[in-house]
Amino acid sequence: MTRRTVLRMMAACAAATLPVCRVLAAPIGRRVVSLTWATSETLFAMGIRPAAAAEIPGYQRLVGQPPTPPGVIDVGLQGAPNLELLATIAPDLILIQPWQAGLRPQLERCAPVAMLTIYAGSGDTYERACNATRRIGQLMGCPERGARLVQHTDDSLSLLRRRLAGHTARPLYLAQMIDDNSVTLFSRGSLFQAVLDRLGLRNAWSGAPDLLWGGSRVGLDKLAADPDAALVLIASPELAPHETLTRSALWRRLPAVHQRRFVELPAVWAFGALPTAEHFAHLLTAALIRNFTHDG
Amino acid sequence: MTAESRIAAHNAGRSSLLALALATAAAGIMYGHLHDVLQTMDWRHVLAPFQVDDIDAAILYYSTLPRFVMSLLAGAALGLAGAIFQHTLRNPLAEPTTLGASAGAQLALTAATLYAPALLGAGREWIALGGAAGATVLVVAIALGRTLAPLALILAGLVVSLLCGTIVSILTLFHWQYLSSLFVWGSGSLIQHDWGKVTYLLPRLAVVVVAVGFLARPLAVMTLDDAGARNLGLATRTIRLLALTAAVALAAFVVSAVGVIAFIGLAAPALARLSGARRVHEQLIWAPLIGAMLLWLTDQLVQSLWTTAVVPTGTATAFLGAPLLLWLLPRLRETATPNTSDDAPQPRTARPHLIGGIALALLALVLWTALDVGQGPHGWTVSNWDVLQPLLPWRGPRVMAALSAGAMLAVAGTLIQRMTGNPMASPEVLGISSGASLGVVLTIFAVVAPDKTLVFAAATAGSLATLFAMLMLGHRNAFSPERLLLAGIALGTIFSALVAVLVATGDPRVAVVLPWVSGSTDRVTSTDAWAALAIAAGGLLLVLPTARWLAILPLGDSTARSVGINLRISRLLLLVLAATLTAAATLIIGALSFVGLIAPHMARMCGLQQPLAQLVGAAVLGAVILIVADWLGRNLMFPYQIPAGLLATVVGGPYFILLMRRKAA
Repeated sequence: MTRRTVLRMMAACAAATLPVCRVLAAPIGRRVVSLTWATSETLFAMGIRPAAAAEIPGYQRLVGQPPTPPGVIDVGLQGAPNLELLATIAPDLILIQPWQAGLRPQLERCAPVAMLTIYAGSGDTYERACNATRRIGQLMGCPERGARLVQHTDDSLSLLRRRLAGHTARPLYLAQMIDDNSVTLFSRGSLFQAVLDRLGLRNAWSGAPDLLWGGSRVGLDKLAADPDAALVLIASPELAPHETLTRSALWRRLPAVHQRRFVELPAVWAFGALPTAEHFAHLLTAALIRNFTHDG
Repeated sequence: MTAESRIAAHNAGRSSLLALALATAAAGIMYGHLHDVLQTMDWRHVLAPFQVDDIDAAILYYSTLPRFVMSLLAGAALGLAGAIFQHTLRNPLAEPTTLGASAGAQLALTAATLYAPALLGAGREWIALGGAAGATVLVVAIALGRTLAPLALILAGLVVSLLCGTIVSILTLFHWQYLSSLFVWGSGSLIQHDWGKVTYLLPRLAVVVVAVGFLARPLAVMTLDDAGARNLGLATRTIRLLALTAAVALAAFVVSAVGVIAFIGLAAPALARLSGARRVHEQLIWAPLIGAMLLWLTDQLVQSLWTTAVVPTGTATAFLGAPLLLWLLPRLRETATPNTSDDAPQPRTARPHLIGGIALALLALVLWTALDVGQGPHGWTVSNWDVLQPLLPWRGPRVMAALSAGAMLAVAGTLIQRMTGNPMASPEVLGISSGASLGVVLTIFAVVAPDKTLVFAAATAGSLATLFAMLMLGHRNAFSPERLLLAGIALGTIFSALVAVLVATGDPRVAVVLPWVSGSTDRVTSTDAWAALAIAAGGLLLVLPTARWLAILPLGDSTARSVGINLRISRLLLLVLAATLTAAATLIIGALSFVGLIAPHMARMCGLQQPLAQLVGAAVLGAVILIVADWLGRNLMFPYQIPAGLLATVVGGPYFILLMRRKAA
């Protein structure tokens, strides 16, 4: 069995344990268009089928869960949606994030626009994702669905926190490899950091983030700063080559690798909302419990 | 000691002083980094690295030292490659990327990652080398019919680079989430985690360096012009080909090991020349030495400024190298490069009116198609008025903006090419659109939710600042074309380096920046479009009275002066006109460059040789190119849109190459 197979099985298990929001798609009066993947996954998890969404094939490939319901029209790239098509669809509401603010004047010619802030480079990203979820519920005229998704995610995280208790007290490096000589280390402002906080875990990397989604690009040497930390390696998107890095001499000598204190997770889209937070929490808990049976 | 050898010794002394100064600074910073580690480290670990379990020693041995060696190797190779290019192509602007090698390598890697990931297992280096060699062969093939005239080669290299870069941009636009790795690679990170890349690079460089050693003497003889060297019995074409092959190999090896490192290949030979190494063998020794020290110093600076790898070294070289070059420009000796651009005169058409009529008919046809034909949710439609009416508020401004921007860029391109007498010149080269884009990109990343007014203000500020800098620079040295081009290219390099860094972050804001940078018309409002049309028309009217200058300036400074043209004033006015038109076009639809390069050439190749005819013809052709590109971009991958600027390059590039080939035949 190769490592990839194991990772895929882990992902499948995690998806199976994910108590998908089983609200049947009750008819929602308002026609909404989601121009970002984070709002798309939130809508899908709330059981709302948008009239259209941005970059559907890319979403299926990189986010995947919850899946896009059939019949949603693809309106093109998140950064450059097809305005003519949007005008033809004539929705009641368009959902965007602050980094798309430049599109706003043009979008407002088609429909009212709601801007939802989830990532701001600092602060509690999970809290903002909850607020965004509630706000989508209100805008769509079904606030109970928003509240239910928030409650459901909160409950899942508390449950996972209890399950993790006593398994490991070590600080964790959260790293994703993106090329053959550097990794992204997640830190403050990331969704993953917010999940760590709620699971009662500690991040070993405290550097200020360089990226909007709360992370920094570093060389492997930074993973050695805390010799007692464990290392969580999030798989790269399938196309990114990283074998060169895990074969390198320095990788093998990192304390966490050398002393077998590292776990691998399947690829997770690092820029999501509540469904991504829950997905990541499940994957992380499962991996930590398997690798740190005793308080090590 | 003869006088000549005394001068040579003096020059070598100055070059070595410069290299020593750079090395001292680099060593000082590096010692600062290592000080603490060296104090506490057990030296036996370094001497017996294979039993290392001390992580500090492991980092020193597997990360710090290989990175240091890599910076020296890559810097030296790029400096040497730059020296060979600049000498062989007789162009101080030539650098290892001029022949398309790095753009070709990057395209090959991007395509392999997306469509044949299995190939990557066989070694990314070989894919990169294949791409670099392929692009270079294409460039040489284009220019071959013209006995590899230096300018033809550079022009072909520029076009092929632009094409490869554009295709990479389109792939990036649709796959930016997966490709962040490629862009880190592409922006030249020197981070090492073992000695693998050093041992890959070292023997390959050694072979090329030995080969260059054999070429040094014939290259020195070729300092004479082609005819003179042939008289001495040299096969100039063979030697030039061999030298270029060596330089391309050097650049491709470096690119395949650590990615694109900007500016060392341009700056090192220039610094060597400025510090007195003028003769070929001096250049071949001092350019690589200075290159090595320069990259070492840059890499050390990068490591002390940023503890994380947010700025790759290859990008920092551009940020540091470009201002250095701007500062050095006034001190660069004026090299009298013979203007060989017009060595094959175009047929001059007897009937410009007929050609004008055809062009206008073409414009009308293209306008109708762009407005009335297109894909919707239910497939292709040719709309009747009722269907078209609700679509017009969306299509109308885009088409009008494409028309105006195409015309403005074409006119600006004609002005710049005539003013500088350099066929490589385009509005992009002037740096104005880079400046405007720089302002926009910084704003999008500095402000959490930038609105349109702010973005526009930033673009205006950027282009005005650039214009001001260019005017200051031009003022100081009487608007020497060579220096303006060099300054503009320096700015362009900073800008593309910045975009590479941003894309490398994988930050979602990249999704907003990329379409804008690559020339997308979909954010244009009808007010923007009318303003653009007004500026384009006004600009064209203002340009018409300058026709006499435009006819005479390409003939050279002395000719112009002898017929009583005030060089300073005429160039200043043309510069302001071209800059304003470029800034306006950039503000409206982002940083396009190919239209400004290609439209004036197309007009000239159609036989429109007179300045007036060329200006109007280029404006119409530029408008047609952008309208067609915008229309294709809206429909080819519906509902996904490809920015007009990228498609203009993909459509226009091959046509341009074809014209170059025909011109050669």
